[in-house]
Amino acid sequence: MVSPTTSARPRRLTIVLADWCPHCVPLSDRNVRRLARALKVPVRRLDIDRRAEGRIADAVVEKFGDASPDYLIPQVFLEWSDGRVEHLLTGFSEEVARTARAWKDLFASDWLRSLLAREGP
Amino acid sequence: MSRAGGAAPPPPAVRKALEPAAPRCYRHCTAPVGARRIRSTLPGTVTVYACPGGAVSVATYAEWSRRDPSSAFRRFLVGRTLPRSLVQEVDLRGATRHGPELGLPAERALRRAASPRSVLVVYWRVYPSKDPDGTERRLFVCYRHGRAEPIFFRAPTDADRPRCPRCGPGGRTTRRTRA
Repeated sequence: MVSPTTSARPRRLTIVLADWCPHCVPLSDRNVRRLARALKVPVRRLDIDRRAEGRIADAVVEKFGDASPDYLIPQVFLEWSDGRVEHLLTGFSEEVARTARAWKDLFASDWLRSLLAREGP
Repeated sequence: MSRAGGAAPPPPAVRKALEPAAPRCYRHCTAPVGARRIRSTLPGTVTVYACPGGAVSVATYAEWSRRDPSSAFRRFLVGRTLPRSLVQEVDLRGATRHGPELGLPAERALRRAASPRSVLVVYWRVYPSKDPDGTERRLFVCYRHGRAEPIFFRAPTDADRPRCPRCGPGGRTTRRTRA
């Protein structure tokens, strides 16, 4: 993960999801918005079942995420002001509760705490 | 971290973080799923999640590495699956675990590493499918052939502890089992 000590700033969050996926909706849909509020950035929501959005989602996952012929969702990405795109999280295939724990851990992480401290109130 | 080009098992704190909390059997029964670590020559960790009846929810392979371990895991599965064609690339799905989503102990363990890297996890989940006659089949595992030799096979979803093709209809095994 990108060190929060770099001078680049968070610019946008992207989530790749599907409405039928219980790891995605409402769990990750809600949490990515919460993360966006904390980072003060907008969210781009890419639904793999909408043709145009799905094409962009495939490209983002292929280039920056966990790509495979039938890739896992949700996948969350953070775009930085210097143009970098950072993969943040992929849903846990084991169970929805495990994906929920991942979000909880992300919000309590050293990484996010450092990033928010650097960004200021 | 010298094996296989720097690949290694994830640190203990990460392995613990990767364990599911209280998984239930996937589309088969309501029993809790047990996780069984499988011995292998791979540098990472193979784990099979199956219910007491042998129905497999998911099999995972976790490696601390910069390379994609999907091919190695696929070869491992092919050698233990009957028929081999049951292992399809489309059923192998990768996930990168960076640390912040794994809890503070795991996040710090990964950050402390001399050469920080992520943990790559490959999931093998075979969804139940129906035969032309409507019989639903799903993936089962047989552990009767040793800790390094789980045998994966398909059987009707409603089968009660089905025997694997290697055990045969007579129930022969390659290892002695207790009565």
